[in-house]
Amino acid sequence: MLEVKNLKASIVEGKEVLKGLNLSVKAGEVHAIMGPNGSGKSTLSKIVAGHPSYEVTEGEVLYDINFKMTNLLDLEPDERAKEGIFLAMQYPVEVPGVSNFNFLHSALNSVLVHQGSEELSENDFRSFLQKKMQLVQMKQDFIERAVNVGFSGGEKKRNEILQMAVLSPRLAFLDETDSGLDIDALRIVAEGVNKLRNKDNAVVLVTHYQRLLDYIKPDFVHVLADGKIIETGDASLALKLEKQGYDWLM
Amino acid sequence: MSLLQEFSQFNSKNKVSDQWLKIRRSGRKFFDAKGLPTRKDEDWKYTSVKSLSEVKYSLSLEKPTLTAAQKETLKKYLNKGFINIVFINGVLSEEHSQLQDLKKAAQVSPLSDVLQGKTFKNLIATFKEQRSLVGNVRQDVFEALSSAYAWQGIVIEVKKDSAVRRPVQIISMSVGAKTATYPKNFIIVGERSKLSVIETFIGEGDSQFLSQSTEVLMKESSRLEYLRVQETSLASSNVGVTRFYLHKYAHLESLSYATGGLLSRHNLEIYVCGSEAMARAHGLTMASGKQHFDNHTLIDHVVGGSDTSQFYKSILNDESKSVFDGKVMIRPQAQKANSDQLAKSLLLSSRAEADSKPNLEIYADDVKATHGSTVGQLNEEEIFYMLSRAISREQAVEMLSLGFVTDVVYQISDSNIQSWLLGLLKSAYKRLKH
Repeated sequence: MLEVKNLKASIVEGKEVLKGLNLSVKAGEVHAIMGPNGSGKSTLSKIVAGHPSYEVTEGEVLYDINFKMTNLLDLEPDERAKEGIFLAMQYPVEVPGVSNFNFLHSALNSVLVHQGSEELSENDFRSFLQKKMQLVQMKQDFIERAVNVGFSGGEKKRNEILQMAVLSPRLAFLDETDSGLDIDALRIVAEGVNKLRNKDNAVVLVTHYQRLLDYIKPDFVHVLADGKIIETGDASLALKLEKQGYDWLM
Repeated sequence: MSLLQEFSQFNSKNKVSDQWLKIRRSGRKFFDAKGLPTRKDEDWKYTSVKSLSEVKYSLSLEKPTLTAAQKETLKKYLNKGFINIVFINGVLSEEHSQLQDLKKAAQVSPLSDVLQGKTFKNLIATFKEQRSLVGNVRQDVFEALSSAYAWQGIVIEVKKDSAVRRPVQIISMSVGAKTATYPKNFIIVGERSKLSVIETFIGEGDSQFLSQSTEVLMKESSRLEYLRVQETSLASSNVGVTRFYLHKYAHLESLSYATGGLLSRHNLEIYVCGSEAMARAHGLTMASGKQHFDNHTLIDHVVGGSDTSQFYKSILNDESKSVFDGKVMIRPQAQKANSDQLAKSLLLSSRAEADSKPNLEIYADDVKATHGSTVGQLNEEEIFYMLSRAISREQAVEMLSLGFVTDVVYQISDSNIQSWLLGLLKSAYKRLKH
């Protein structure tokens, strides 16, 4: 589904962050990317989503669109999202003046129209949203509040998972979704993600800590250091990293 | 070309009682003496009205037959939930108006009847008394011009202990090129009474001119929602003044909403004459092309213990310009007054310009007064966030822009007005992005 080949990228007019990264993700898989601070973990997710702060200097990001591997970097961020790419952000943005309801309704309708389906009416969307909200135990008053404005850290992260539930992406990057969550919120978020998993989609978890992986079991664990993946293993690699740190790899 | 050239003919054709004739004549005299303001006048520093002297406007006090397109335009504003009062080129349009629906809770009369001495015989005295209560009311040349041409308008007095349940909308529509209109309305809200009123200005035609003046008396414990909706033709010039006198415990919510006209100026004046009164004045401007909007406000705390706030927002595209000049006066005896002021502009183009000038004159020492202004652009992180959720850039910009101003609309408590205004706002945004 996703092939990242020899990806090199820098911050616009800044230093190189990714230095030849390779990654292959297939449908139905869960990957975890771990690594020390500043290794380029967030950069990878942002480049896949199309964040304008980074420029790719070499390599390609291929993504399966209608059984054809397409260069994702040629698409605008909203086109990528319509094709099923999703990024749960490390720092979800506050959007004053736009209600969660409008935001989610517009987002889903964009995807539906792109897929050639009918838009959902406000009423239909309202009942659809109710079900998705239960998944992450979101309170009712949330619907009319402005996106992420005045949300606690945990609410913001749950909101990201709710957006994921609404859009049902094929490939989701979860960028440190576990950081800043207490144990209850972590469980809610993880259960939400698990319920959204199926054989046709894939999840890439970017995380510092092994504890998220107690709840969401990865098929592959990668270690990203200095802009490259230096080690790949199964779930046991994460446990080893938890005990021994990254030093033994470097 | 003088805006007064038709005065003699107008004055002899539309006869009024002696005391109103005096007012007309003094208006004419004042305008004649002062002439149009120039940018050398402190109050007109950011706004030039030179173009007004270049067009030969004509006063039309005949009701035209509306074309199909004009009927459509009018229909957009008529709302079945409102009590509508419609003037077309200065003439009351009976077929679109429902004056009788007001009569239970209020006394209502076309200004022309009042001017002929048929009704509201104390109107001049009533407002003269208010003016003398506050001392020196700002004299404005355009208001003088409106007085000279006094004829179109409505006078509403809500009886004490009464509520007008439906919002009252007073529409002034101009059709035809180079028409000049001078709507003049008076509103009195009785003790413990309640009213929502909307003054709506619309038009179709080139180079129109509008000069509106409205005076509002809010008696003890009255409550008023006042909206001024200015969506005149894009080639028109319009000026206006709305002046309020607030007495004890009176509560005013006002919104000056403007998206139309090439050149627009609105003066909002609030005189707080009673303690524990509260006034919240909001503004919402959406501009594009070469549109120019100028909002001047004056909140004068004649007595203390009152609470006022101003919150003006504008969205500016292309080469448009907005001016906010907010004057707050707290007189020496007005202790314990609170006053906040905030002006925020969103620029959608690098050529647009927003000027903001707070102007605080505080003569009492135990008061709270704040002011602030911001000018900014859309936040790219917010746009990216929306893009990453499959929302197109165009739609993201629309949602964020409307989101920037809709909190002002939500200040209005009447849900019918709210949704009506949101509809207007959305169409105005479409015009803005053409």
